[in-house]
Amino acid sequence: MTVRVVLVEDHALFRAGVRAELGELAQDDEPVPIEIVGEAASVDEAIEVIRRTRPAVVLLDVHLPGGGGRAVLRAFRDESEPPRFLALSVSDAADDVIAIVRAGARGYVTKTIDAAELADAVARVDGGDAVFSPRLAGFVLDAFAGEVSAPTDPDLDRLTAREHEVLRLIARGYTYKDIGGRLHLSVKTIESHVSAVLRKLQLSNRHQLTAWANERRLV
Amino acid sequence: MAGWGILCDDAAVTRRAALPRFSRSRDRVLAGVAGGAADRWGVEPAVVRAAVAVTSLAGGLGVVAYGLGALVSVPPASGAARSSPRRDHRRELAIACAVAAVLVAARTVGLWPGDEVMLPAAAAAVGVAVTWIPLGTTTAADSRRHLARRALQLAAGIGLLIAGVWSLASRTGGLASVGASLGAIAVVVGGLAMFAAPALGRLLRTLDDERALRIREDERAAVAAHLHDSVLQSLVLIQRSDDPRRMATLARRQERELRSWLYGGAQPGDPATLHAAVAAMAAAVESDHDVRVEAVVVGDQPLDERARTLLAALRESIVNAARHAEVDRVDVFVEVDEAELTAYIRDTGRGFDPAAVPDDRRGISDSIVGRVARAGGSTVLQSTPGTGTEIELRLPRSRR
Repeated sequence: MTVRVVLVEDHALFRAGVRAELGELAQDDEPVPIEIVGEAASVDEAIEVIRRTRPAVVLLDVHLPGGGGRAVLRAFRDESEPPRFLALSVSDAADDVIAIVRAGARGYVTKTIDAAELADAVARVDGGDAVFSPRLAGFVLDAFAGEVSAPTDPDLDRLTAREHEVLRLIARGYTYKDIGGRLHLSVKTIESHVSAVLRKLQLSNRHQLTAWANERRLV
Repeated sequence: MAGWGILCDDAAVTRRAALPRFSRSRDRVLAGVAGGAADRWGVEPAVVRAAVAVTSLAGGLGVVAYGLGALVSVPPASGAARSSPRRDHRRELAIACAVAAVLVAARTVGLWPGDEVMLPAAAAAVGVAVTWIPLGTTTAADSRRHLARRALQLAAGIGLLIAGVWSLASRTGGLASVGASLGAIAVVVGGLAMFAAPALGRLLRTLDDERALRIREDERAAVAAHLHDSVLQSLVLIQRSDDPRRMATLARRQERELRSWLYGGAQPGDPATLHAAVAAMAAAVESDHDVRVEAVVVGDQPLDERARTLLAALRESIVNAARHAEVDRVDVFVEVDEAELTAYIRDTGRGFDPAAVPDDRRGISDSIVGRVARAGGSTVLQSTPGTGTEIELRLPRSRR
């Protein structure tokens, strides 16, 4: 089944680039089931296009005219079946990235990502998983720096030792598959750890996160 | 009165070295006359100062005597004047006393226009003085208190001034006419304002617009200068280059530079923290060795000796990977926790058998393992031919 994707990005050239690269991938022997069903260059346009085309995944630029990527996320927050958002940005600033993920994005990749990685990230977001680039893993480790909670403790403000371990391996550049092999766990288990981290990131009241959110008037 | 004790000791020192002529004291309030006289007579300077003050206020004799003393004495022996933070206040107090003494003397002698004129005038003068007394420089931390004190000071000063002038005007009987004139002036000014307001408003707006335009122009010029020096130069280089790898390298370096400029990551001069230093080093290795370096840093610390050691070993490891692993990407992860610095350098390239490295290849053993070991740290090298290499560096943090 093809993944229907809407590309929200204000630079036409970059949109064209993504389209071309993903198209090129599809011609290779490995068929990548991604179809770009719509494009938008601003917040209002994005909301309209997403409502009209009902994509599975939205590739969302963090910096967007008319309120930024977060304005788009807000518009779909209360919907029963919102599309899944994957944030895409040239910004490496921790607060930008943390803010968009806290607003509901299922992951974050930088624009230097290559086509195969992007296709893989889209497929994973479509499957309900979180996508952690090494950089995002680093930001999250920074934000949750300090004590590690007991494995059974569902404390939102801490990472479990295992989650911490997984994040560090992601930051070191390992893929989920590599990590599974190293920790003798299945890829599915790694994915559930990462999703748990994403949930904690989005729900935590930890003060660094709250400070970021307050600064950006997110709360 | 600890302060006086210190003054006495000083006076004693001066006394031993006393010249036959009457010399003014370096430990002075006004000109040092009272201090000098006290030295000469061998009494406490405070006694002489009190005597001068009392006789000044009661009849003005003190002022005359002080002036005479200043005339007949010689300056103190050379040497830096004693600096005391209290000096300023004492001096102001002394000047105030002298002025008061002169006024009292003038009143006694009969050179006096009458209390009803002089008291309001004095109030007005004090008001002006209070308004202009500087509060001294302050740090940003207590600027709010400073502001409050300044407001209080202004209010007190202006209040005194207005009270003085008002009272003066009412006593000289001119208040009624002043009121009428003020009314007339208000009417004229109001009329003029109504007449000229639109023109004035336009003028102010034009000035504002011009200022905004100038600021915009300056900003535009700054952005243009930066883009010219960086982006345009790189684009020209890319056009002239026919090697795709070189083009990609130039574009990557430019992207990093522009990004740090746009998002404020730029550090003027040498980086001061490990985080910034790793970022700068990664960018440099990227452009020198044609490889993408994904550097993630968690935590941070100042760039001390240990951090520099780690940085050097880290750089060597990345360069090794770039040279030998045949990859286009190296992942770097640096973590700073309470006890130690940890760094991982990973590539998914060719890999090698660490045991098979010939002894004459000193790169890894000297620049990485040896360097880290000398600083009290450890290195773990894992490599499998065909699947890649990971180097782990650990260094205890220096205690601060």
